[in-house]
Amino acid sequence: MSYSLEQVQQASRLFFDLLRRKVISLDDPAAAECLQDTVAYDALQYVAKEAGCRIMNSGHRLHLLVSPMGSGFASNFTQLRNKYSRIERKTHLHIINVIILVFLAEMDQDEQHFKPGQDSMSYIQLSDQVSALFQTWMDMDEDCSFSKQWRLDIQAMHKVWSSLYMQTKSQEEGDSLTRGAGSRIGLIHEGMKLLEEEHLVFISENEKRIFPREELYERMRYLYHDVDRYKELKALIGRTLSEKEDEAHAAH
Amino acid sequence: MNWNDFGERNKRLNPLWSLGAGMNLGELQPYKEMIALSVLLQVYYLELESNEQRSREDLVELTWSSLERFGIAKLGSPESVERLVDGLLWSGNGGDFEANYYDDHSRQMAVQKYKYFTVDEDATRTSWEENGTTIYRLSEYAMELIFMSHEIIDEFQISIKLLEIQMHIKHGRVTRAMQDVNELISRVRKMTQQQQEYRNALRRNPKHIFSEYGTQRHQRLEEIHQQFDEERKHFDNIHRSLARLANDEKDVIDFNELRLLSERVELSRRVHDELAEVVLSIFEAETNLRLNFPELFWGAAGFNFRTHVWEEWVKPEGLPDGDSMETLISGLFSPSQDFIYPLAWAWEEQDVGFLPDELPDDPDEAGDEEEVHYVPKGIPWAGVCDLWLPVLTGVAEQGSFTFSAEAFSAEEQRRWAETPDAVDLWVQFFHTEITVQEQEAEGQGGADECQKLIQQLISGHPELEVLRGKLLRTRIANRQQGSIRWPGLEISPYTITIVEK
Repeated sequence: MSYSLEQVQQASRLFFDLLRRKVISLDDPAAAECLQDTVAYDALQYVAKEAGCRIMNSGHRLHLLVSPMGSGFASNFTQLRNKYSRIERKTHLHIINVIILVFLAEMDQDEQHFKPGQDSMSYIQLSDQVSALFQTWMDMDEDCSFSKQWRLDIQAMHKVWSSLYMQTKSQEEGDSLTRGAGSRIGLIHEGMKLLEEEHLVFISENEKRIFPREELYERMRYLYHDVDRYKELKALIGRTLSEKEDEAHAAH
Repeated sequence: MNWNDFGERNKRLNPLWSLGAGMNLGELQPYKEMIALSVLLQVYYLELESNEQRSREDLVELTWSSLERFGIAKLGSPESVERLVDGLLWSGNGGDFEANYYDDHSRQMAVQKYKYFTVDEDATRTSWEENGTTIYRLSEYAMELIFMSHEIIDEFQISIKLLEIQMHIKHGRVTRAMQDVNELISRVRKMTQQQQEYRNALRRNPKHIFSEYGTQRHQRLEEIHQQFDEERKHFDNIHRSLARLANDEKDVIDFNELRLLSERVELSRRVHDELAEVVLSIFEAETNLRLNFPELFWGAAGFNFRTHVWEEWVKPEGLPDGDSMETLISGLFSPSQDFIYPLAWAWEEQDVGFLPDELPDDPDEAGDEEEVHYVPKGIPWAGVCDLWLPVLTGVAEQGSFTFSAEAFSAEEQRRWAETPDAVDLWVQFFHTEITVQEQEAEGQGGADECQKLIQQLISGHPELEVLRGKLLRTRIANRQQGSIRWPGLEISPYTITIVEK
């Protein structure tokens, strides 16, 4: 496939525009021009790939996403990681990740159902679910079904989570949501703010509820509903534990 | 709480609560409400079809056919079936049914009297002559029950409702028709909402096309159109019947009521058209998705985060370590970079042979240009204006100006090289077309550097006034020529021209 100078221009122009705006609606002239020319659109995919990114077309919008393989670019997510980079705060970051995962699991459920999942979630609900989850994991852990490292991480998370109050004093008095590792609500807010800054959810501060936006569904669909990408993710995260055990047996 | 309508609600529900009550039907006992409802419904449809087989004997037949249908015919006996029909026609003492309700206006308990069936006088007049049977029709109360149970069904048939309304009007039952039209309006609105909900779900996940709800809707477009056409016909008929009624029954019917009714019919037609619009727009969206984005439907149906990532993987199996969660989530995010448009890129073309990427001008973000380019604070306007004066003078006099070594004296060349701000402005002109403001801008707040420059020059040099309102476009002239170089500066041969509108 050969690209004309103009097509390369078009592609890179749209790429940098996406870099600036992150999401562009398909009927935006900036996107429409490039989408009409399959070759230019193809070139765009390549530009993105080389930058460690992916272009996703949801049928309504174009999104530019970082590739889970790692990318030269920072994202809101990596910025959060830097904030919690100190070793003793690593566990807090893990908890925030668990909170996000629990939220995603509530939002994206059975496709056969008319409603894909809950239409919103309160901070309290999230907190209860996270508590229940840690409890489940701790119980499962008794028969050592987890890998060693995961087990240690879970124990650390559980310890921190159960030592935290629901809210800090100032949150309670001000009846406000503030970010921080000082309370469960604070950690939840960290995770949810992250999604909000990405324009994936809307946080209703006075109801203390999170409402998913269309963009969240579009991205989840892209990332988790595709068999190949799912396998890719699994492979990336490492072979499943059962395989690990097989290896352990083989080594003996 | 509003107690005003409590009595009304109570009265509406009483017939439901006492449906089939107080009968002793032996083995049919557990099913009596169901059977009673089935009889009411069958009569309702007979009425719609203007079928007059609605005598007591016919009701008995209908009951048997219900029993057959439910597969409980062997539990019934002639006695119990007759008992049930009688119990629907009259209360235990052979008269009206009675129930209490609380009347908020008079502040006391009151008794409500009602029946499920009344004598259909029109039909009975002839049948008494012929064979002495009485023909029954559903009472208002029974109708109410039918509609209540409708309420629960999503598949509400607009055409049936329209037939009903027509029937009422034909019989001069204006009040009843009015109630039905109002009901139709609220139903159709509800349906419109449902359709919109589906449309939203579809946007969240196109695979909903294959969900239970989606597949129900998969009629062919012609069928949908046909259905709507049919319903339009009904509306026309209703209007015609109304006109007839207004003519024939002038003395009997309150003209105001008729006027109100016809207004409501018109409204119901409108909401109905809205519904049609939404349904068709969904159809369009579905077709568009299927045609242009088939890839959205690929992959295993029913793949979703909760089941496949969460329930079947992370929750029971765990992950290698806590950090792996990041891999799982990080793909949801867009790259973010404090993006500075480096001037070097604008020059790079000379070295690698491609043009700078220009950021498309975005009308919404006209003020944002400054964020994109790094422009140092405090531009030495005096020096910059001096350098740009010959440029804009050239544009004003000849309609265009090309940046070239010949255009400037050695002294000017040296100053260009020393004033990066002046050079930056070329890049800015290159990025967007600029319409020179007609008026002296009040305050320089919103204008970008290019505008500021032009305004400053014009205010100092009246001969440039001719540029006001002109559209300026900047290109790179003559690609083969390569860039202009002199000590301390390398720049493309930019050309500013006035675009003739």
